[in-house]
Amino acid sequence: MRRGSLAALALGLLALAAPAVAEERLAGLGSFEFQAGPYQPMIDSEFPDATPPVRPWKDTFGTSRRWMFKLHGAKALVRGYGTLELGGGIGYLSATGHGRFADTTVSLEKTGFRLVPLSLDLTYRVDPVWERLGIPLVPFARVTLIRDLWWVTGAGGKASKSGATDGWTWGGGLALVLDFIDPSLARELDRDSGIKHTMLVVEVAQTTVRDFESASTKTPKSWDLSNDGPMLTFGFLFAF
Amino acid sequence: MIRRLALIVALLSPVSALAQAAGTVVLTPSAFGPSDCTSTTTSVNLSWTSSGTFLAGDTFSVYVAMSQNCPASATPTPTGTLLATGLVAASASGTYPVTGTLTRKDFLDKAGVVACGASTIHVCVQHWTGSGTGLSVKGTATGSADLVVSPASIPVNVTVAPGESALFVSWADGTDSAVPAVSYNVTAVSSTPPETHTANFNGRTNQRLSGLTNGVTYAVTVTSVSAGGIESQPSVGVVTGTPQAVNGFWEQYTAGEHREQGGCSGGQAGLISLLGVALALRGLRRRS
Repeated sequence: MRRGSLAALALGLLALAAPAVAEERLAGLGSFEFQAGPYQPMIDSEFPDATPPVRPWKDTFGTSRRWMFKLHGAKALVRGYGTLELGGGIGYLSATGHGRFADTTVSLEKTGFRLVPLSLDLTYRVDPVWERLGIPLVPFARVTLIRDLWWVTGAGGKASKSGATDGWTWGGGLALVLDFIDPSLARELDRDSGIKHTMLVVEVAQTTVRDFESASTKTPKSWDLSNDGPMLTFGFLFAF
Repeated sequence: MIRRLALIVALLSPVSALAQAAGTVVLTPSAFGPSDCTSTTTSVNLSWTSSGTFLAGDTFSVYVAMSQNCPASATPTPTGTLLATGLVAASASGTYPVTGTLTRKDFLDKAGVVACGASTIHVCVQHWTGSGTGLSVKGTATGSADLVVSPASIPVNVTVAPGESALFVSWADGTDSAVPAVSYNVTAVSSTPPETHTANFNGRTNQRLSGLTNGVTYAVTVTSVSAGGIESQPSVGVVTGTPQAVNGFWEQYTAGEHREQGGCSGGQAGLISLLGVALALRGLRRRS
């Protein structure tokens, strides 16, 4: 709860800070990004002391991480010393495993987990590193509110279960501006399509997705869809 | 980028031209069986796209034969029996019969099938243009269908594994026939209660037979079906399986004490989310 309040507060402060730098000229339209990163929820962490061990996620879907794919769009709000963007995204993750019989042996029946994360975020990009210093690297920081929509499909066509879990993330990363490889091609791309910059992006984020319940919550009602560790995401970004 | 696309299109153009060189006739059905040798059902249809370029006034001629000889010229004439001529073309594509009385027996007889023996029936369509003595063949289309009179091989190595109200059945093609199977019939029979479940599957030799009852033991057999619709003898031996209840991910998660109940979260969490969005929008309004 406390962490959730802090997240909302941080997001609000970032938004309210916008007018302070709004006196600078407005930037371009914004950006569009394809993202992908390995993900594994912390659902099994709900049963730390169970005997025998209870690991529904790992027993069903295995220990390897699943790739989550996202589309992210952002609108540039202001541009001063850097760019502040308000963005939103939608993603998809699918995991399929095998159900188990009552004696815990593995069956051939399939069971699945589908996740569609919706996000609303504020991103601050330090563009001057590239624009003024000429170094093709753009650091950025991002705070995100998340709603994870999820569906569980039962073995053998049994009725599925669905729900939504809220959370937030904070993190940052580095974008490599690809324009420096061929500036003339970059200018041609700008003229033809309006894409001003293309970037390869690496982001590291700390995710907390458990309906804003903290470890001290007395009777938690949500499972933990936070990533098992900092989430590493790779992206390809087009800035307009 | 536009220049690259233009180059790719230019490089692919010759390929497209080559692909148009041979017209194709599609026969329905795609294969015939012994029952078709005496069938009086009027359900043979031919459809084609000629290799020639359409002009108003063009016509098609359709031939059927036991071998393929479909010249793109007025002479010599194609091998076989002339099914129709002077069919007025509305485009480079056509069908026969759109309406008509072409029975499957008639079709096989005109092709020259003898004693309903295994054979391949070929169709040739000539695309004609011009009039009077100036008639010429500007394109053709060809196609074929087999008359299959033998069963496919008897399935072997049948195995059964339990599923949720289902059985997973796998098998292999036998070696007693060279005729390929186009589908398989899987049958599960129980004595108590007396039930029989049969399903036809195309393609893969491992399938899930659903609609069964957990806890009931079924004897499973598999037959193959050839293109002519002939079913083989059932697989040899009795293989049994008993469907069982299977726990999916949700059942495993909820097996003991657990937090998540499903549904959407609400209360404070939802309010905090909305507060964040509202603050962000407020910032936007102030800026503008």
